[in-house]
Amino acid sequence: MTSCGFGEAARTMITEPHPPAQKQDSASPPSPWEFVRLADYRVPNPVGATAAFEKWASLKRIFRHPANPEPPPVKAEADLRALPKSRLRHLAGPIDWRCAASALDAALAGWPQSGGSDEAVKFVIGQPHCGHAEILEHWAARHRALLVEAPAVDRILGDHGHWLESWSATDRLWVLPHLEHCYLRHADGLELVRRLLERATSGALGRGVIACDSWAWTYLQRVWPLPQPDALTLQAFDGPRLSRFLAELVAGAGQGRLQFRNATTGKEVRLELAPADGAVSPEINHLAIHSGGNIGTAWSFWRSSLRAAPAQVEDAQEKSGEQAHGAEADADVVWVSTELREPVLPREGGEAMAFLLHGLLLHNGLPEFVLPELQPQPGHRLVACLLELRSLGAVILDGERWRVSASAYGVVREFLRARGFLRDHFLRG
Amino acid sequence: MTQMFSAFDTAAVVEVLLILAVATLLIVAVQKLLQWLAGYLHGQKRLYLLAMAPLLRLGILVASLLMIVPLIVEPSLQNMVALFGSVGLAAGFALKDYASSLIAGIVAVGERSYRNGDWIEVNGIYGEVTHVGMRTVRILTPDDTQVSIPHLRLWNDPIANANGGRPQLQCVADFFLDPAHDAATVKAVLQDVALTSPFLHYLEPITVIVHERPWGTHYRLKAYPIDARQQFRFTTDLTVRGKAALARRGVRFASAPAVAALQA
Repeated sequence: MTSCGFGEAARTMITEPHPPAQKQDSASPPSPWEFVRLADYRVPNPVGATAAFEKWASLKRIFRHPANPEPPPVKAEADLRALPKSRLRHLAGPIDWRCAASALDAALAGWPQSGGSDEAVKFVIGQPHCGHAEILEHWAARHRALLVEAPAVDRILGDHGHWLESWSATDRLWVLPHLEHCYLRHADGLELVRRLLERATSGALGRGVIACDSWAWTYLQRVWPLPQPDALTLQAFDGPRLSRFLAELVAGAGQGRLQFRNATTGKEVRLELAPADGAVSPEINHLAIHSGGNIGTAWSFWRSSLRAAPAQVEDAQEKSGEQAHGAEADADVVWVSTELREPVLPREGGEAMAFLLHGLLLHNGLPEFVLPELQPQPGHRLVACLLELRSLGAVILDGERWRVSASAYGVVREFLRARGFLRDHFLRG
Repeated sequence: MTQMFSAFDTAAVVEVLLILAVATLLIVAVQKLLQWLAGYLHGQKRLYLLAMAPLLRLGILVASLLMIVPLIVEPSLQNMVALFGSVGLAAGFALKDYASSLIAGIVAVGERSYRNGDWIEVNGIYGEVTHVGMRTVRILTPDDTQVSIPHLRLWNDPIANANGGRPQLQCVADFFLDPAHDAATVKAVLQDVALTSPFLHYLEPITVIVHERPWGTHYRLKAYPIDARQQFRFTTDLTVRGKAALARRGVRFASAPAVAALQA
């Protein structure tokens, strides 16, 4: 469990099912979670040598062959092993989106209670893997709002009147966490979302919050141009925010005497709860820049970069049976690999692969059975392409939906950007 | 009178041959390198890179010519005028078309009437420019046929360039419908057909042009694919999905005799 940067009271607060909103403790460091207007989103900027390094890494990606995806590890890292799962779970457990829900509460600042003439609907836009749906679900629970599920695929493609009618019968505050699942990029798949947005923005559906994936949001601007200057998004996790987030993640695991060290240089990677501007470890700054401020991908890279010396692994495995939570594990040095392991997409992957990946991002994941309706390739080729992408680590099957994986998101975005595909506006290029 | 030719000994011959060999190697290497690099890039960057090939080749040729001429001819104004005058006269009579093509090739590179990656139509032949040579431009037709067209066509024939150095070009899908239908609905459906195509380049407009004809209604759906090389697949995608979307709404298509009348 992590705190939300709202002081000790808030740390207790988030364990309650429907905790009340708390004011920030002036003595505590600021929360890394913050919701801002889309125009105020700031991508962490690489400067000087870091910028050159990022460009060089990007250039290498273009010419790298998937059969040889990574250069051999440096000697110091070759001896290290991946952390045991139990230890990894405690050092870098799942992101607690309730902290972000608190930040959303602060950003909306009493809007749910005001019944005035301001906007009937608020929009929250989230990048892939930034948990916009989970945040909204927590927020809905906190405000006892009606959680509206996205319609089934057949409803989107045809019988959508019933879905809208049944919803509009209520006066409760509502939350729609998956606008991206309310349309399909199909000639018959846009009518529902047009009617939905028209009714929602006119106030016919009452007051509510709509969350939408950033790629779907960009696409929907073409479908139903919707000027929403007040739409909110999670502020990018730059170096200081990321350092604080990771420090909270570790602190929440109850680890004592823990040290993170760069596996190449041996220098300590400091995770600060209140880092000064210049005090953030270069490894954390690099991670923030590389992930473009996307907390989901940063967290994924962080997890995959943690290593232990072989003796530590054996020790931890022995202890895992005895200590269910591993909080007192005495292996107190965790090595941080400097290599960010990303899938390499085949250069000759071509059009079919690009279309498939673009389709998955535009809908924030799609069920397999609907893919032939949306793609120009036949079903068997789509399945083959999906399996190839899964073997590369570029896509994952999440429930019934295929999604672009967090570790591949940056690579896939660059793959599509280079080919001129429509993309969201959250990163450079 | 000064001597026109330099002492052309074995060393000079070797030097000339060496310059020619290096120039040839450089031209081949540059063209291969640019083609290879272009294979890794997409869109505007790819087209810029491909368009550089003839320019670089011209530069290498001019540089090698400037190096060779002083080895053969004493570089005085009198000698140069005499030499180029003689060469020009010979070329004008014996190799008129060849020389015309060479000059037109230089003009084509300078005016950029067509560049590698452009889609052009010359005398009814349509295809992608794959190589702008010294004498000819080579295009690859949609039927995978290589056609070499002499640059001298540039002087008299119209050359239609569909994309003019840009990655995008406009594609048109035609729909011939029975006149008894709601035109506004059909127009909206066709807009959505384009808007939902995976090939679509979203920054360009989608337009639907409607013409009422004696035999029915002719719709022209115009949109731009992401890459000009996708144009035929894009048009096919629009046609296939457009027909399906219209059929689902019960719109009837114009019958064959009526369309035949149109063709006539």
